[in-house]
This record gives sequence, structure tokens and C-alpha cells, in this order.
Amino acid sequence: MDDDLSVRVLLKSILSRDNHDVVESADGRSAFSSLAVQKPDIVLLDLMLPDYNGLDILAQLKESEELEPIPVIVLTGSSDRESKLTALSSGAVDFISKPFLPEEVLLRVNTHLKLHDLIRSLRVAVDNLESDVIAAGKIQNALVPKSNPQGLSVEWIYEPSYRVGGDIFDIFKLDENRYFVYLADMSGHGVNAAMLSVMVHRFIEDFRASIYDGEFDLRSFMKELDRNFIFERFNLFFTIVSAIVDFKEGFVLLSNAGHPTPLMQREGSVQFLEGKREALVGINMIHGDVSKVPFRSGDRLLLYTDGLIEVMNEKGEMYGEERLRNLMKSSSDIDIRSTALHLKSSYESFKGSTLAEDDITALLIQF
Amino acid sequence: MFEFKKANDEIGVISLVKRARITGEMSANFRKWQETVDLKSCSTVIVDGNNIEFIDSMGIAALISIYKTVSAKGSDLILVNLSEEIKKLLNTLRLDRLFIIKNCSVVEAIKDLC
Repeated sequence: MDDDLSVRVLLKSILSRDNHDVVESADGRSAFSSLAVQKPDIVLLDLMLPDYNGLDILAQLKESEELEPIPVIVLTGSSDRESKLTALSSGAVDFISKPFLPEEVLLRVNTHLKLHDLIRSLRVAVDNLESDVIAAGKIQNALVPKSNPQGLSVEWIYEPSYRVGGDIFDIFKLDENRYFVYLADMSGHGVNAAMLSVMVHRFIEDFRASIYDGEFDLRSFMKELDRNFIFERFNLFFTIVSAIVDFKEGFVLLSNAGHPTPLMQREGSVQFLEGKREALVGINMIHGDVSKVPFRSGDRLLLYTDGLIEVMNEKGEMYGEERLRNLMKSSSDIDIRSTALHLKSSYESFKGSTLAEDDITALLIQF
Repeated sequence: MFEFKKANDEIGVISLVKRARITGEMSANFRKWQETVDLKSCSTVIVDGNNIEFIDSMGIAALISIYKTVSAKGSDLILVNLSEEIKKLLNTLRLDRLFIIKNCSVVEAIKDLC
């Protein structure tokens, strides 16, 4: 766009020789009508048009959602430094001072066309990646339970730090009186961890399908996990706490492989279930140690991932086990749904505006 | 950010140039970096925890990778100068049974080895 015919002829000849298609406009009005008809790859804009100020055209281009991505190079007089700066800060990508050399015009136009192409393909790639991650998040979310298994009083918080996460859990009914629960946390977070979590979930489903539920044995389950998810396979590990809750006999069998210590809320007091602890899964150090803990009417068992106790506030302090213990102690008299909500609002208000670094999952089961 | 030095020709020492948290992108970088270091020629590898403020699970995975490389050659991985928080984390993961954890400085650890 330039009102000077000689400049337009010269630019057209320079650009046509390099196989560019050129559409000319002598004023702002005709420029806008040609922009509406065909979207150019790049605009060369003179700042002094008879009917429009070039900066106003630039501003209008940048306000339009459709035209905004088109790179604009402004044509200015060599002494007009202020206009150059204003144009650059208003969204122009470059300027060419008159009089210009043909080589300079080609160099600047071709550089910005390449750059623009690169940005466009990068945007497409990021958009595709984003939609893939959203789809992966949906798949992962579909794996965790949607509602309470019949006959079990349980509440959970499940919050990946990104769209997908490295935490996974599930609850199965083994028979009339027994439930199997597990909560696992993959090292890292994001897509790698999420893919591993899906594999772990699938493996556990297969393991369960391969044996009669009545014979589900925590010891062999944990050893089987350790044997199948060796560290070298993915260069990732995971921690897991698994439990069989037996309502008839009134106990919980617990196995903890490198996972944060489960917590028991009983008659107004709160206790961390240190028990026997195994190493994380994948380094061939799981022996199959299982702790047996009494579980009576009114008792509540809390399983959680380290993302909960490692929530950081603005001062760089962690939420920690003590805050968790106090929170659970102060929630003894309220129902488990309210307790879970209370826990969520507690760490969220502690965190303030700090971004969560890790996924947060907590499972609260009541006898 | 990460530094690898040799002491007495065969003891490798890994440290952080300045105090930092090995979390997020930093732990991903630590993991890539340790693959570029010649750990196989070391009879012992010492990780200096002096500048490590905290380490996340990806950082721990990098430590396990270091351990796997070192132990395949029959060598030891020793962690020194760790904060109480990191020691507690290693204990939770039971990695204190896998790595050798010492409450001393790098210099003292090297002296013990010689």
C-alpha cells in the first residue's frame, strides 16, 4: 500500500522477479477492500496515505482476529524515526526506509515470510499437542472411579497438576465384605507419567482378572508389580500404597511401597500408620511385607500422594504431615464428604496463588 | 548448573554450582546431564547434597539411573551433605537401603575412601 505510483511499480517489479504475487493499493479504502477479498501473506504499508494514517491501518489490522497474524512491514522516510518506533510497537514486524535497495526489500520480505511460516506451523503443532494432551487427560480420567462402589463409604480428591498427571487409583469390590484399593504415584508428571499410570492401571486390572477375587493376595500382587515394572524399562518408577479393607473381620491389610504414610482417624485421634515399608516399585526390593491394622466402625483411613504434603505456599513452606494430622484431627466430628472438602480447602488456602508442582490425590475410606 | 569433577583420578563428584531445587525442568535437565557424564570410569561416585534444596521424583529417578550405571560396574554411590528433608524422602522411598548416605562433607568422604 503506497500512494506513490513509482514506489508501487518499483516494489511490484522487485517482488515479481522473485515469484511473489503482488496486489497494489494506492489508498487506505482500496487497501481494506482488497484485504477483505484475499488474505495476503505479508503487507508492505506506507505510513502516509492520502485518506488514512498508515498507523491507523496498522492498528485496525492488529485488531482483526483474522488479519492480525499477517506480518506488516512499514515503508517510511529515512528521517522519520518516531513513526518507525511507533509502528514497531504497534505490531509491525519491520520497516524499510525510502529510498531502498531491491536486495534489501527482498531480504526483509523473504525473512519475514519464512519467520511467519515457522510461527504458523509452530502454532499448529502446539494446538495439536494441546488437543492430544486434553484427549489423554480424558482417557486417564475415565480410568479412575466415577462413583462409590456399592457398600463402601469413600471420598476422593484427584487433581493432576497439568491436564494429565502421574497419580492413579482404583477401588474394586472383592466379595461381600472386602474391597481392594490402591493409590499409585508415577515419578514425574505430564504425559510420560500419565502413560505409565495407564499401563499400571491396565496391569492391575489384568492381574485381578487372572485370579479369583477371593484369592487376591496383596503380597504376590506387590511382588508382581515390582517384577513387571523394572526401572530400566521406562527409566521411571512409581510408589504405591495398596490395601484390602475387610469389613467382616474389621481390619485393613496394607502394603506401602515408597509411598507417604497412610493415616488413620479413630475416636478423635489421628495416627500415621508407619508399619512395614517397602522400597519404591521397579528396583527389585519388594519383599511382600503386609501390615494388618484394626479397622472398626467409625474409623477412617486416609491414603494420599506426596503432592498433598508437598504443596508449597508463597513463603516456600510445605503443607506437611503435621498440618495434615491437625486438619484430620479437627475433622473427626464431621461426615467424610465434608472432611474431604475441608481438606481440599485447607491446602488450597495454604497454597494461595502458588502453582501446584505435583499432582494431588487423596482417598478417604470410612468403616 | 551441574558439575562433575574427578578426585584421585577415580572418584567422581557430582555437585550443584549454586543452591537450587532439583524439580520440574531442572530435574529433567539433571536426568539428561547425568547421561553425558563418564560415570563408568569411577570406582565411586559421590553426590554432594550441599546445594540441593529439594529434589522431586524425576530428580530421584536420575539418582537411580546414576546408581544403576555405577552399580553395574560394581562401584558405590555415596550421597553426602543431604538436608533432613531429602534424607526423610529417601527413607520414605527406602532408597537409603540402595544408596550409601553419609553425614559428612565431600572431602571427608573422599578421605574415608582413601
